[in-house]
Amino acid sequence: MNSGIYNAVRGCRTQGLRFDMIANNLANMGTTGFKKDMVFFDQALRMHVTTDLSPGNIRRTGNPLDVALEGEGFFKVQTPAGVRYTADGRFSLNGEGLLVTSKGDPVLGSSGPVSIQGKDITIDDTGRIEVDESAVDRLSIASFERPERLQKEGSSYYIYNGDEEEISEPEQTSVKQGYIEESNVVVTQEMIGMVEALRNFESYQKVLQTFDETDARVVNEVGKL
Amino acid sequence: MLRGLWTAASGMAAQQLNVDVISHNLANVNTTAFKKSRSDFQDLMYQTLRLPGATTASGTQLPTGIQIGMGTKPMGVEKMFSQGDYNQTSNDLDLAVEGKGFFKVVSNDEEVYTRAGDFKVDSEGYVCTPSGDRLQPEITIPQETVSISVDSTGRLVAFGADNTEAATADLKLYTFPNAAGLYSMGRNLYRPTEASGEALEGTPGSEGVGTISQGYLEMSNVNVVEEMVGMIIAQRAYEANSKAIQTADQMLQMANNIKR
Repeated sequence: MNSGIYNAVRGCRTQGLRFDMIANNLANMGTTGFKKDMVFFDQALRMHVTTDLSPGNIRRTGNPLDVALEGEGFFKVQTPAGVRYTADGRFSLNGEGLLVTSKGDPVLGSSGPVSIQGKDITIDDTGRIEVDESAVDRLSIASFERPERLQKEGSSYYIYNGDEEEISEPEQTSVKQGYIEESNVVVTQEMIGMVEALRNFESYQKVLQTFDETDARVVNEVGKL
Repeated sequence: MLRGLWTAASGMAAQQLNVDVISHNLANVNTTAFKKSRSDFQDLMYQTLRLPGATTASGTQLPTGIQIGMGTKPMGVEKMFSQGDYNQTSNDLDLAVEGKGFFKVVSNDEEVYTRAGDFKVDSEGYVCTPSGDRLQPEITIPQETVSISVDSTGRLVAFGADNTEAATADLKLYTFPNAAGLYSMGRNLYRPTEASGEALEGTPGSEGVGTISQGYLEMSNVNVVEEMVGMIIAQRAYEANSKAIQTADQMLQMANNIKR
């Protein structure tokens, strides 16, 4: 048997994975703070997936507890499993007045979870939170020296697999109250990627068919006396 | 590849829910004190096919891994308690709340809250909602009343003939630590939950509760243009996900055709 057949099989599987990833990007077009995944191949034709951490469009909602980050960085969240990071700033208050994400986990400020007791909430560009005109806390924002070590966990959360020293507060990032960051998925790019994945898959399929035909000839015709 | 098929299906289901929420908002564009809802989505879990930092057979470390997402899920449908516009009605018992407060009424022996201030008087003289739920604390309007005045701090005075004061009462407003956590019962009523926190009684006009405007109704806070744009986006996103399902179908068909 020709060993090339295995390369074609691998090609089919890789294009399938690539398609799965594009489908996930498309499914999350409407997910606030979602960052799309991208595929690339190295010289050994190994597939790599990276997350494109570029910011999405910022959309105004006017809701005082919607917060978006302009520039790099993530909000810090305290989950039962440890600190997580998110770009999804649709916060709300829980029954105890703690600032929480839509999953209900407390958002971290510079001194732990942010407690808001009052009516009039303003958050300025630097993330300082004022309630009824008295300063309460400052939203904690994290940026990473090696962002490729961020790993998606679902529910718009990220976990950082690097060292604690690699996390710092970004200087250029400004906090926008009343805005949310949309997902950074660009539909045209995904559609082109999908067509590409489909046609590449088709090519590998043809290669497999050709191998099949060649093998059939070898067995049935070459051996004929 | 079948993974992508289900991923796209989750995207379609999410956009369907999105359209459902938008339709409900549009249907209530004329409902007194209606508060619009918004659907929130989050990405589903990821399947890790190769961890970042794994070592290859040749001993080199790979900087990135392979994680494939499984789609999206609705995380919540949140009520947006932003202020609606005011509509002047000049009706004595039309009260609009300017601020965060709610009126308390009793519906089916249960204390519930509402923003809709289109009050009426029932056959026994009690102030009630259009569906007959009495305002709390209960206020009776005497039969001989000619006109009613309510000032911004909730002081209600019923005037009889010759401008005599027939009755007086004080209206109360209630606020919640997290109004978005209220349970919507329909009929403009909200029930407190653990997420919303306990209702806090306040006098209209005091800090953060809001004031009362007599002769006005709060209109729905739905913005038609915004909802229309949302609907276009939802429809196109639905379409994009359906294309992904078609593509998955074609790929499966090709896979089947490898063997002729």
